[in-house]
Amino acid sequence: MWRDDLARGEAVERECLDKIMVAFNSAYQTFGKDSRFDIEIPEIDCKVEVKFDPKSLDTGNIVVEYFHNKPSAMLVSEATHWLFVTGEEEIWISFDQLLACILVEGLEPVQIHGPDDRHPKAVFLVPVETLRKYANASQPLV
Amino acid sequence: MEIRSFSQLHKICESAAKKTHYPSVIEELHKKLPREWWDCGEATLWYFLPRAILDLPTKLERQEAIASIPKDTDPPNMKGFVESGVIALWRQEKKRVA
Repeated sequence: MWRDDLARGEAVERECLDKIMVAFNSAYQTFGKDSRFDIEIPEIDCKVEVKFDPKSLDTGNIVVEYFHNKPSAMLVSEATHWLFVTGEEEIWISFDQLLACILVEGLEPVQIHGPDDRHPKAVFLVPVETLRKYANASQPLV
Repeated sequence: MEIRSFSQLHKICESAAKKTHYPSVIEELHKKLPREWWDCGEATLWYFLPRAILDLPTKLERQEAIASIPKDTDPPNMKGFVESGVIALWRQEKKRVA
């Protein structure tokens, strides 16, 4: 299950990279344990964190994690931009705007314990509608 | 003190953040939380510190509070997070007043 999610996530990153490379052919994907970001676009000095969150289609919320037994995801990522992929839509948002979204909207941290997780995670549940308001771009997937 | 719910952790983090001077915030957090919650508490501070700092009455106090955050924190870049957070909240308030 966890390996399936990882494989799907990496496939989504690859698809995103393919699209980005249409405009920026130096873009590349990081692999393995390099968790600082998922894709770098050197031409525009942009580092992207890609998050595939198909469950958001059911819950209406995007999960933004910050602690999973240690600081994680948004607290350790060096990405300048985040790309959320719901399965039906892509939402691009700069890191500063993501922070603004969470703080200005007063989204309180919550703890969730996924079925495959050994430890609970501290996360923000960001309503997709709210995230769109702060996004740099959002577009349906074709 | 035993932590029975995540909202209890929030309250402790929010209350500690009001000290605003980072070393005092951490000291307060360690005093109020059991050791096994320290890491999670420290990781949650970035959410509460910007509001606490923005609520300080003078610009100098806000600058001092931000300056009290060391460069080498765990989680990394706490200073950057808090600065960006303060700016985001300040912009929002400016927009609301305008």
